[in-house]
Amino acid sequence: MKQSDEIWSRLTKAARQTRDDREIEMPTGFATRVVARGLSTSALSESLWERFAIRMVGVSCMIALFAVLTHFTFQSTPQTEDLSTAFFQMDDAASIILGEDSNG
Amino acid sequence: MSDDETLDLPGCLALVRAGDQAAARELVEHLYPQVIRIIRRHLPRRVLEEDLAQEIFMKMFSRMDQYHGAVPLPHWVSRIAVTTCIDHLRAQKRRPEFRWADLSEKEAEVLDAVITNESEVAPDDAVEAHELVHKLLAQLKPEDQLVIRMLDLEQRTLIEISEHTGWNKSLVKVRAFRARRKLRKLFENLEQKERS
Repeated sequence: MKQSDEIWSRLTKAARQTRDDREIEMPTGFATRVVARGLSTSALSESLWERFAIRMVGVSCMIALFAVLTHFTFQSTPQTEDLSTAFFQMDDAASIILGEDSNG
Repeated sequence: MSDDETLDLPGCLALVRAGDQAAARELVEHLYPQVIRIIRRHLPRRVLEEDLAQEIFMKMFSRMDQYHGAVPLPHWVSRIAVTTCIDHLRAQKRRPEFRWADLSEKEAEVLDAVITNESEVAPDDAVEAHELVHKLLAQLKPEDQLVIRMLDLEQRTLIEISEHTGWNKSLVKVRAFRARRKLRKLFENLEQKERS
């Protein structure tokens, strides 16, 4: 293990002696090309988001309206008129458990 | 206006966000050398650095809204560049195994000498040693390659690597550990093949 580390250390030490002598020169028109494409892409993505957001506002309004209408439609359907009637129509849980005849 | 002293980065950024093309060009000109250095450090020479630089700047413009100044702009761009290099390395096909047959005659000589002798590599063989290191690193995962390159070739500290990659120090340490273990295995295999 130690020997492998030493081999690697010697190799990297030698590799560090090399210098990258390539010049850094920006190709002609590079900045103009990149900026033209970069700014138009970001503007396009922004406008897409805006359009999507506006559409979503419309859709959410429709959903809200539908929810309100549904709520009032179901509330206006006739329910049991008298709550006391409904209460006495229910089976008595205790009598069922005890095996008593609910009619008797 | 591409020097550090003369470019007012916050002011330039504000103009770029407002869609000012001249300011955006200045920003590209200012960051270009840094981006190219990152590409050259992490990718082999055959890679078309101009295409990659363009990709990095496009990403920079499209993510400009996500930059809130938590780190200096050059660090933020450096992270984009590093991630793009990793993606590029991932896309390249890795050789399943490091083979002596893939080395040039001179590279094989240098590797043989470094494995069998305990002496330093001769200064004349520095270029071959550099190539060998890159071929060996190509066997590692892209993220691990990057960490080892920064640690052992560029001799950067953990903090510097963390700043330039966006990975925390523990993650950098884990990647370095994993990479060194893989390199040890590689050398063990090479030594065995050398003996046989």
